[in-house]
Formats: sequence, structure tokens, C-alpha cells
Amino acid sequence: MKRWKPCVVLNVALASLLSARLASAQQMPTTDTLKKDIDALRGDIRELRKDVQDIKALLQRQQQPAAPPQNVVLELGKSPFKGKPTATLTLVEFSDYQ
Amino acid sequence: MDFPLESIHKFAFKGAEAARCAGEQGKFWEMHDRLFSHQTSLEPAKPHAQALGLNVAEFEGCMSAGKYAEAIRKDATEGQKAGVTGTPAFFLAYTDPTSSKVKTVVRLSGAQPYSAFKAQIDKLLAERPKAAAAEKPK
Repeated sequence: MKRWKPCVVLNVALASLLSARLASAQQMPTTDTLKKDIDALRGDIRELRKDVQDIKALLQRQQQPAAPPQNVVLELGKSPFKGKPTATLTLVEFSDYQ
Repeated sequence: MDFPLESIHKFAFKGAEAARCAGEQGKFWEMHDRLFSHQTSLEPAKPHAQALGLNVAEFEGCMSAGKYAEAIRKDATEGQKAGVTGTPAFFLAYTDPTSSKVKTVVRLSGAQPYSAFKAQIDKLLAERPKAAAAEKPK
């Protein structure tokens, strides 16, 4: 059992040394990693901008429905009606049973 | 005209057929009004036909034959061409007594107050084109 102890101590020391190194690497990145990071971020921003543009375009298309056609000629056929067939105006209703 | 919104109203098409089949026995508006006042119990149509005193066998025959299905689909197509997407949708037009076609001049979408209809109708009557006015004395 005694033999194990130094090993454990060494392991702990190594581990703490490694983590210290990693921490310092994170705190003080090299210029190269910074450049890489910036490039990656730039790429991300480009993609996000493109997504935003796509979303904007989609919203615009949805918000501006094609204006309904005007002065449409309706074929009334033998539709049931009320009132005089010769009345000046005809009011057409499209309806459904719900 | 019929514009059954079948995707959201299960009975819309059958209702339109029921009114037309009742119309065959001279009771279109009676069935129309009845269905609108019984919106929670539209189905089945038979009790409504009985309540209106229709010849039920004839009515049922008309329904099962889908006699007016084509005419109803035609109405819906007319509506789609005119840009109707929901009901009720209204159009005002000067009547042409010589034709079953009318050229719409005003569109009123959705359930609007009486005043909205009155305003448009008064305006159109005041602006009545000479051709339409000339036909009036007939």
C-alpha cells in the first residue's frame, strides 16, 4: 500500500500542472489561434447574416399577399337568390355551413 | 354562393348539398336558415329535412347521389378566382338582367356591420352608370 502513495501524489501533481498549462493557454492564446478564432467567427457571422436575409425575405413575402383581383366577373349560374332579379344591385355572398 | 371550407368545417360540403337538395323541394332558404341556427347539430341532415316537412326519401336520394356536388365545386372555383379565402365574403355588382354573370365592383370580406354594406350600396346607387340607370324603367 505504501508504494502506491507517491504514484498518487505524482499523478495529482501532473494533473494540476496540466490543468494550469491549459488554463494559461486559454488566458493567453497565441496570435495564430486568435486569427483562427476570428476567421471562424467571421464565417459564423456571414452565415447568420445570410439566414437573417432569408428570414426577412420570407416574412416580406408572407406579409404582402398578392392583392385580390378586382372587378371579377362572377358566374352566378342558378344560385338561389332573394329579391327581384332586376334589382339595380346584386349582392353576392360566399358562405359555408359550419 | 357556396364556398365550403372543408378543411376546417367537416359538414361544410354536406351542408351545402343539404340546402340545395331542400331547394329542389322549394325550401333552400328554409334549410339554409335552419342549418345556420343549428350549428352544433348539423349532422345528420335527415332530421332537418324532416323538420322542414320535406319528402325525406327524395331528399336522401338527392344527397346520396351527390346531385349538386359539381355545382357546389363550381361555386367554390368562382370564389377562388375572385380571391375569396374565407367566409363570409361579399361582392356587390350592378345586375345585368340579361345574363347570369355579374361584374363585381366592391368586395366586402368577413362579417361586417350593416353600416358598411349600407355605405357601399348607397354609394353605388348614387354612382350608377347610365347604362344601368337606363335599364331601370323596364
